[in-house]
Amino acid sequence: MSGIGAYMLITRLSIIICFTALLSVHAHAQQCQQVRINGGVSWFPFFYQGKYQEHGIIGDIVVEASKRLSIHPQIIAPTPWKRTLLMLKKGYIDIVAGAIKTKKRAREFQFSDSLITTQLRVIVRKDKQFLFKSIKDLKGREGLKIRGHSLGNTHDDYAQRNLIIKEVHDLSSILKMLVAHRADYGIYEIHGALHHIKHLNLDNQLTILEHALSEESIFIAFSKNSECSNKANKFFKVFNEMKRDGSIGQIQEHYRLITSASAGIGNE
Amino acid sequence: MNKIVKFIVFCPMRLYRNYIGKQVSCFLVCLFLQVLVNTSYAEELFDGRLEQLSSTPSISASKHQEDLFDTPISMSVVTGEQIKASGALSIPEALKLVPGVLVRELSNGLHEVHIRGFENTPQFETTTSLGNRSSLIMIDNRPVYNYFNGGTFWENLPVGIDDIARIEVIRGASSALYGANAMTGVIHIITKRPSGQQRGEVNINLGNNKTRVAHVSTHSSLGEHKLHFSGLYDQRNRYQSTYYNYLKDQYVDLDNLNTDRIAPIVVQAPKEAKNQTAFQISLNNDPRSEIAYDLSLSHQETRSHKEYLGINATALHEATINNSALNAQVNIHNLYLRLSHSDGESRFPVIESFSFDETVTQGSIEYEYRLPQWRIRPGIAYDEINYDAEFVGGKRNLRNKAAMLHLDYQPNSELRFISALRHDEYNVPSDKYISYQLLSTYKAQIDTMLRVGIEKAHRSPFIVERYVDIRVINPDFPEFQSEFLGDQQMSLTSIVTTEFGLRHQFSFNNWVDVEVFHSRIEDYVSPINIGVAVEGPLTVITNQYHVLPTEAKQIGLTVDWGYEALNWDVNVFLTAQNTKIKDQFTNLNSPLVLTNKEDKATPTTYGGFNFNWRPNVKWSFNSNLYYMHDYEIKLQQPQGNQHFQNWFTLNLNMTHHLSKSVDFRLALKNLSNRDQSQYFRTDIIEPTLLLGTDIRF
Repeated sequence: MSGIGAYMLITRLSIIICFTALLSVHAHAQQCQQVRINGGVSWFPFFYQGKYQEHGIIGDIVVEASKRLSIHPQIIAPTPWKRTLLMLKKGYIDIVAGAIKTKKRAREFQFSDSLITTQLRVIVRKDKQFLFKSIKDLKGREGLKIRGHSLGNTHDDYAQRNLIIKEVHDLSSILKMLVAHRADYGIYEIHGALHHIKHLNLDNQLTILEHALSEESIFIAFSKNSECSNKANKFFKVFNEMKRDGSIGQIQEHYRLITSASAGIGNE
Repeated sequence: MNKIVKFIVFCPMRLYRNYIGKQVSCFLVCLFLQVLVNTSYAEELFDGRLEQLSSTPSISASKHQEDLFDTPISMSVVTGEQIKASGALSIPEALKLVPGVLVRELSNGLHEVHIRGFENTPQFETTTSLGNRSSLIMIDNRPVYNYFNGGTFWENLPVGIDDIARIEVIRGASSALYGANAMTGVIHIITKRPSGQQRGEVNINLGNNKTRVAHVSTHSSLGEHKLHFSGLYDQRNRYQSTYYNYLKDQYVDLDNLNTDRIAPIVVQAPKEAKNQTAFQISLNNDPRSEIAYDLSLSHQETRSHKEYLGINATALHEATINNSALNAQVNIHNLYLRLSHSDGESRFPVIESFSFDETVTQGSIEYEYRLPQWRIRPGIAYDEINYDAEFVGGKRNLRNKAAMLHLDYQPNSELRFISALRHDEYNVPSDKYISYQLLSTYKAQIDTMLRVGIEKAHRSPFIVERYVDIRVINPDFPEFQSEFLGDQQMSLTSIVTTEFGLRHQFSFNNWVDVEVFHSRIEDYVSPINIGVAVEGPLTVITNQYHVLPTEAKQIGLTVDWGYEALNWDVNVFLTAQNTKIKDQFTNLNSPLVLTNKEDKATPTTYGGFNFNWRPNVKWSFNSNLYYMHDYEIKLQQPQGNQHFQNWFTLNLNMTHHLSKSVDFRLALKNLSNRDQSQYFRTDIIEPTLLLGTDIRF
């Protein structure tokens, strides 16, 4: 094939590819029959895929809102968190049910108003409880937290300068190492900690101290690039309605009871 | 280097000179812009609280678990899953996925591995010197090293590719952390331990050249204790049955090689590359327990070809090596105890006197003391190494007592200073050696880390160079005898490395790791011909081991880039380096005639490419390419020189995940642009077709 012939072929192919791609984008933009939902893997009680079709507090809020908008909710099989965010960015999924809002994320995704808050709490052995009012009370003791987890900007600075905190891979490591006397305390989100303590039958050995170390708001993130990105505002309105009519409160209460009863989690 | 510059400058120009070139150039520019556009989303998506942050954990760089991104030294981790996806069938093959590592195949399943090079420094020695004596290989913290004459026998490791959880590779001098021989780096092989619900696994791979690799593993729980068993059978034929004849300068069959030789080269199976059986049994409990322990017992028996002894007839020869090892690790709170013992025999039919029996016992105690901002880890170590060989006049011993101190200080969340010191006291030489690592990291942003370090390390003493006292008859010329004399008090070979590094994550799925390094090795040791005497009908050439004035200096750059998309990922890495040898001798006759030379055995550029594509849950595809630029090995006569033209090998691997329990695999390996050997006068590498299956139960 001559150079000019190949040039023509490449040019024509490029035009065809661009045209079909544009058509495809246009066609997709017209459709929003269902929303594809994902979240943290087994982030109890906020998002998980349980054996009784429950999806955690935020998952159930999104499912309920979808129904109210007559859009079919589809929960995607669990993926690693990094991949979940990438999928949201690319528009392969529409919603991440439960995320912390940062300034940079706010530029990348559409965020709902804060739906619920949660607390970071201190977990200790029952026979080694101590008075805890502020982070300063952790000084001189050995602690555990998940690698990469933040305690909040102020607390992170204080912890870095004054505390001894080992970083471990997961929550069960925190709990098992506490039981094995390998640390004096662990730091984790209260609901997840309560659930895992019960799930691992450690509630006779471990307890959670009353005072919260810090409080965090949790949001729902919408893709800016998915088929249903233009429905985000409608969802946000429904979420606010659900707040007002008490639906969100009911879902939270439901999971508070589940936490107390130690329900099983399917994908753990 | 000039060639690289010319290639970089002229290749796009040539491309641009025709229409197709213009279109392709435009396409490449668009692709580049697309990557730029994508990377402009370089947001701190990791910066979440309470959420799972997936990063690769590593333990070897600081002796505690930390994210690979935060390690203060040049380091890479390749996981068992990545190895499996690549279709690698042996540990050295898996190391082709690691930046800064040079892997050359000698024959089917036989490899030599170097970190950053120095394969042929000094030049004009024998093939014995080509083996990597400057890197420390460990299996679950147990050093696997041949202290008789240095190096690691890769084909005799008691674990197979399916036993590996991950391999952590440190590039840079690390004796301060792990003791002698970690001069150019450490390859730490971490084996699998039982986890999850899986009860066991069977892995079978069959290919041409009678390649048969079978592996089985199973485990059971005994209360809180877990018992694990794995067995390996690895049998492969060579790519050819001929041997390179130095005198005739061509490959010949064994009979031809032995023509006119008074002492024939003895080989039981000329066609066989490797025949290995091995097993490992481990017993451990939960590593998070109050008293955590891990015991393992391994045994392996191998008959294989090697390029170990510098014989005058040919490069490859046969060896039979059997050994057993026991490794015990205990962790009580912050106290870490390790004790290992290995026992083995190595037989070299080609030079029987070089055969040896060995027992190696090594232990260490370390305690990690934590303060806010500080980790302080003092420790002591003890090595007792015994060899019994005719070549060194019977039983010989090396002993070492060491004290270590590792200080890790983090004044704030951006800065970190690490100082590792180790003091070794040997019985031979009766001298003390200090190794160190002085490292610092600075986290400029959450996604950018700068690091700098200076490190010093040394080689251990070897039995042969310290104790040899033997006269060897030249089988081809029986009227000549070579006398070899060791020297117990020679200084140990040492290295000083300076490094600068930058790690940056453009986005959570797009990262780059750059390292610039400079190393200087001095106090090489080699036998020098100090005189010739006539004793009746015999002419005796005396070779006395000496510290050489030769120095090798290397400067280099390694770039490692990775990008991960939804169903594919790519990793590209390249090292460019230049090594110069100061005071290189032209032969080992005293007095040495010294000149400065450029080392050409380490390619000026080498690297690789690894691409995974998972279009759906049933199929996954991998292609990996490994490349070396031209290199040349220079040895003493009659072995001579060999020039190797630049080569690449391409491996294509396709896996069908039939179910959760069964995978089928088809691999086409060693597709190359050259019909040549990769290592000195070894087999010409051939493509391999492999069929494999993994069955989990």
